[in-house]
Amino acid sequence: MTRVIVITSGKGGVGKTTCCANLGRALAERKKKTLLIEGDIGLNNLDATLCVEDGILYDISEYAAGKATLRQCLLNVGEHLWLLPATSSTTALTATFFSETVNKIKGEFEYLLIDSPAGLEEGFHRAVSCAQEALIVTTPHVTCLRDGYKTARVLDGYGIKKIGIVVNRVREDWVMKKEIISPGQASEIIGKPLYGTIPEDDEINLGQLVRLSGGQTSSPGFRHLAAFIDGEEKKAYDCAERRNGLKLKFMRWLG
Amino acid sequence: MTGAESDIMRLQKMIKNDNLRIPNEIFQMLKNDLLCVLDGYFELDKKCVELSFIPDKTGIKIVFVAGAVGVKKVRSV
Repeated sequence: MTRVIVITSGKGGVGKTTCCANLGRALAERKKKTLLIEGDIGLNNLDATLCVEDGILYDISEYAAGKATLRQCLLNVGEHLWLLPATSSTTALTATFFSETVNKIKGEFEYLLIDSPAGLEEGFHRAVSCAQEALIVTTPHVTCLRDGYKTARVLDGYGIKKIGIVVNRVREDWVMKKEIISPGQASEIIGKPLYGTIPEDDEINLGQLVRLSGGQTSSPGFRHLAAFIDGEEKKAYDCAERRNGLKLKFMRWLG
Repeated sequence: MTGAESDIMRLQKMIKNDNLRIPNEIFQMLKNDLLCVLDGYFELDKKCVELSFIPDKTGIKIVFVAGAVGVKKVRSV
């Protein structure tokens, strides 16, 4: 059965698109047929994050205008991974049309990840209205957690039963020093279970695609997140907890 | 106090305030219920109750203000 998951946050700039793109890539790596849907219509960046912006021939607005078929709009961006882009906005792209489009295509995929725009307005409604599950992306900062909390309550109002959080840009050393809120505390504040953490990664800041195979601080975060969502991993990845564990082992070793 | 602890305290306060500011039908229902109860005992001057929620360190202070011109006679069956 296809799982339709909206990636949202409330606040802008927390890493929704980065999480959506890399979670999609990690699911595809697990051989799960995944479709990434651009829900931030007109302010699209999923294509740029995946470095495929030059490959787009048709997008959802052209499908809405009857200028292209839905299949023509799907862009293959890797093995088991497709993108439904949205480069321009039209009034035809209502929540109803968006839902109908998602329902039409979802049978062909195992995962549909919808990249929601920031805010709780029309674009958010459009992205959320066709989702069965939601992933709230936040950072361990007061402003993001406050918006994450509000977003969780709004999602509850939509009747979405499965809602989890991903804490992005976690500095493990700061969590250890209790300088910033830990992923576990973030989960308690928002009132939703922790699905994973993504450590702060300079290479993402430099606009590079995450090397899922490893060698990058964020790589295990995305791989584990995909495994957790896919049901293989039973415990969410908490990079701060892992570091704490290593520290304890080291202390024990020292005697 | 660590940075995280101070952030959590700030957040809890913010969220509590945010929740109180969100327009909520429950507040209107609570006002109506209060009015109904008070009206059973008092001759209210205006059929309205001012209701406010003030978050403080221990929780939320709930304040209601209503005016009456007299007390209703207690009726028995």
